[in-house]
Amino acid sequence: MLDAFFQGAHQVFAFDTLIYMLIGSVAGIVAAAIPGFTVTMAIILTLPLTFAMEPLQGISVMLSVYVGGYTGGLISAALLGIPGTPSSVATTFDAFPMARNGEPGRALSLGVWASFFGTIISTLVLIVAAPPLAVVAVRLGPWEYFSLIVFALTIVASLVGNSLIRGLIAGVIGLGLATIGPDPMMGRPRLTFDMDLLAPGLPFLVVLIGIFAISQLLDEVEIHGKKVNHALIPKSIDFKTWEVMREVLMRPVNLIRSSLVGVVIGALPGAGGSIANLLAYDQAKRSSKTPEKFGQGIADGVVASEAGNSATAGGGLIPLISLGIPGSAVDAILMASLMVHGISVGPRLILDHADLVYGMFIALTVASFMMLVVCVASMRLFLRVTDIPKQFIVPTVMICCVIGAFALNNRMGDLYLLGAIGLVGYILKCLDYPLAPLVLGVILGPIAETNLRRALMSDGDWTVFFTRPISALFLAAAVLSVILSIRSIWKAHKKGNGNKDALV
Amino acid sequence: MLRKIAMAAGLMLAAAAVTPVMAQDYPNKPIEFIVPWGPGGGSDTLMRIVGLGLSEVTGQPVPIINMPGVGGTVGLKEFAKRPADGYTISQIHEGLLTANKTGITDLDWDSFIPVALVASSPQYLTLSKNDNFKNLEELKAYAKANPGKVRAGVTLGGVPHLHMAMIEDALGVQFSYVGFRDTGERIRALVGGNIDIAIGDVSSASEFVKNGDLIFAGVGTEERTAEEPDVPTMKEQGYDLQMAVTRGVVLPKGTPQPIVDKLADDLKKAMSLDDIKTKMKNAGSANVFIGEEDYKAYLEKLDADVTKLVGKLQG
Amino acid sequence: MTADTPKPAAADAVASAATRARNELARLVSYIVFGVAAVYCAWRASSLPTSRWEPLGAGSFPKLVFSVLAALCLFAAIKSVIDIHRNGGMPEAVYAFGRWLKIRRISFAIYGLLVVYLGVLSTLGFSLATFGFLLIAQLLIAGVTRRTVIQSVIAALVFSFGLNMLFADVFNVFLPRGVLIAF
Repeated sequence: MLDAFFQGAHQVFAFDTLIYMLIGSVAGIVAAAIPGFTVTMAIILTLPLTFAMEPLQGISVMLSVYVGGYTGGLISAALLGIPGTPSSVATTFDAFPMARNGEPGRALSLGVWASFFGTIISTLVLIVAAPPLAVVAVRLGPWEYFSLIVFALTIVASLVGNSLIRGLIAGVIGLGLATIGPDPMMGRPRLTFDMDLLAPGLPFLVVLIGIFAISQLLDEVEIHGKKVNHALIPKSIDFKTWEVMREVLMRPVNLIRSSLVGVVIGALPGAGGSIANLLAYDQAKRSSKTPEKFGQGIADGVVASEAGNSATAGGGLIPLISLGIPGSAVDAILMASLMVHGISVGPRLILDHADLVYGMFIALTVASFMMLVVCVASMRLFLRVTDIPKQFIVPTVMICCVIGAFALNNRMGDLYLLGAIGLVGYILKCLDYPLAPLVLGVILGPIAETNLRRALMSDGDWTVFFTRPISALFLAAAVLSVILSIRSIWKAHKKGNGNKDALV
Repeated sequence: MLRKIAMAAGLMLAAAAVTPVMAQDYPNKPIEFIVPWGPGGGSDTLMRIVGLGLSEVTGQPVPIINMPGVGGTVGLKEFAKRPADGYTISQIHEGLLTANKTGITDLDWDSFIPVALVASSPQYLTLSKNDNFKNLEELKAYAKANPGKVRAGVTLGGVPHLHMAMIEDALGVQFSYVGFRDTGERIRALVGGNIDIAIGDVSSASEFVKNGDLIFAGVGTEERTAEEPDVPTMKEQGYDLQMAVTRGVVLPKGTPQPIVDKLADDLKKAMSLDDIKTKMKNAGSANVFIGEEDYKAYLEKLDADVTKLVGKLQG
Repeated sequence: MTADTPKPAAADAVASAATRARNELARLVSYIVFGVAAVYCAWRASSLPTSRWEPLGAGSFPKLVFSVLAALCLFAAIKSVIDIHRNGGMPEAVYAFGRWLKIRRISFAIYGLLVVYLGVLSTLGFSLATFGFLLIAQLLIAGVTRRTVIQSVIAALVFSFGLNMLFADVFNVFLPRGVLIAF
């Protein structure tokens, strides 16, 4: 075993591998930092290059793109209020207000450190507990998935903002939007109104960019009638790197809980970073003594969401390494790259290619350190973005969104959808609808429907949802979550927070 | 700057207008390869390798353009609109035929010019580890005794559904279907014990078979495969079933014949490169190359087979 | 979403009854629009064919979702009507709605520009269309002066033609090409 470990280490610590990894890390961070560009896109661009590399070298480079990408999304979330990647939606809730309140440096540093620790914690879990976790994950059937999604839907209550009813409407609109397109079982067109445009459905990324980015950019141009030409964020170049590290470490419970949420969600094939990020935020808010401060720029919110999404990096590798089952699109690409090199990824990977597996652990750790160094070193540079006047930022970021939406599937139609969804997003935002529940609905809707239908195809009996223990556990958690939310809303209402809108 | 760009634009326009379609110097610019499926899947991986080989042979880049949607038909629809000059190529497999026959799309294999079949992944009937059956005969006996009890993982209306329907037909039994999107998902459910049988292939399932988690009960090829010599064919067990997912390169209708021939030639060279052969095998495809005419004949026969069974796929 | 709350919500809190009514009216319209759309979609979904492979067909889930949406919208609309009544009724609200649009005119102008841009993208090609979009949008936000024109032209060139070259030549990613112009 030690032999294999050193063999793996030897390959990762080769000079050229490290250089490639550094480039990969920068590429991942930059791609994720630009709204509309995704980690998946960056990884696809790296894929052909890895065909020519040694297997472990190729994987190491991809892992550094991957880790960098989970952090990069933070930058535009904090500075522009636009999630840079699907997995940084919750990061906008607190990092953006924090930056607007004059602490952009602190917001970035908090996120970077939380991401770093999140990745490290997930790597540790991966090393220690991958095989048993993977076995549990693979045994989960459609019943468990459906119940988990029901539970995840209850976190809407944490995302509603001012009005519960508008939050619920937004969430259900999200569920509804996701039903447009080919139905997930039969592939037959559904609610497409015979339009070619709607036939492939609404891609999640397009909805995300349309809802968050376009609306935020339009909103940016004009704030309450005043033309604003100055930079988006007041100048403040104070990172307090080490102080912030201590600040993050002073929240061990939040950090570890959020990371574990990330690991578990990451380990479930098909779930992924976007859910982990919101779920970790929700859990942090619920267990906080000051839940009302969430959404106004609280450090706990940033830590939870960033630790949560970064931990899915290690989590996603759990089923991949122990069983050869990819947890996400990115993991599937990693697996393809190994396969092309003649490495069969499956339950015997760790037996047959121990050096590769240890090498991946090492590469993941190295990648997270690299991400940290790159981010800390270049944070000043990122903050310069906020000095650029609005007239350049807004149209240019819009173009990036258009490119990102197009490059995803190379479909012109997706761009028209982007335009339409952008308008809907902007109007919803103007009318004070919370946007996050809508995005959550779009993410969770298809998973819920697919698994509900699959469960009933496997066994026509509805009671199975309650008799399978893990499924029952999730459903119980969902009920509990709803009860707790109602109680806290009731409390807030009784206190009479000055906002008549609170309940309805 | 602007003038330069305008000039460059003008030049390009002019160049595009006067370039005659000549096969001798084809290709003299990048060939775009539209893969109508998402990145990371079987088609994507295999076609990236084919693209790599083609690029090596022609000396031109062959960028892969993923254009997924509606069972691979969105990308093909766009492809059909591209100029028929050989600089955009695409890929089809059995899925297009089932999608056409079940009414999902108007496009069919003969909406394009089939150039060559370059990849073939034999499909295996794969069983989960269970107490009721360990091979084909036991499966047949169990399914006969318990109609509708065996849960079969398929992609409803897709190729695996077609194969499962063929097996059902041949064994004279009835399964109950559970729908999945892709082979990876199906194999995962099979390993997890949430379904009983599924159609699998070497790249997704063979490691589990080696590890004793799954069983290959039969393969849909003429002879046993090189990768799994211990797995009997369906034919030698008495059921003459052909089950494979084959992928071929196509050109838009109207492409000049010299270009079709040149591309077929280049593909043939590409697919015989040692490096490409190894990579294709690693990614789960048999090393095959079937040229224009034979590929067309293959598709015609396939068409007839699908037409015969299509009733079983319509829900 | 909580992050968005400071601005509109804070404005709400201090706003006069008329402003509240104006916002509420706009929301009422949105509830009605969403509600009607939901009823229509639910009706369409119920005409989807059932499947012989499974107990739930393609239509069941959307039918459920859109029915819930319709119910929520109905509830919200009723609350909204009550609220508007309490805050001084319609006429003033209608006037305020016009002002609401006026305040956001640049946002809507940029949006209109985006729509036009997306519309001509497949004819003009990425580079040219993007150049035009960037130039106009930048000048729209910054106002037209000698300085801004020069700056905007440079920035627009870099992010249209430059970006396209970067993607095509370095990454082999092809952005939409025009019918008239090949790049």
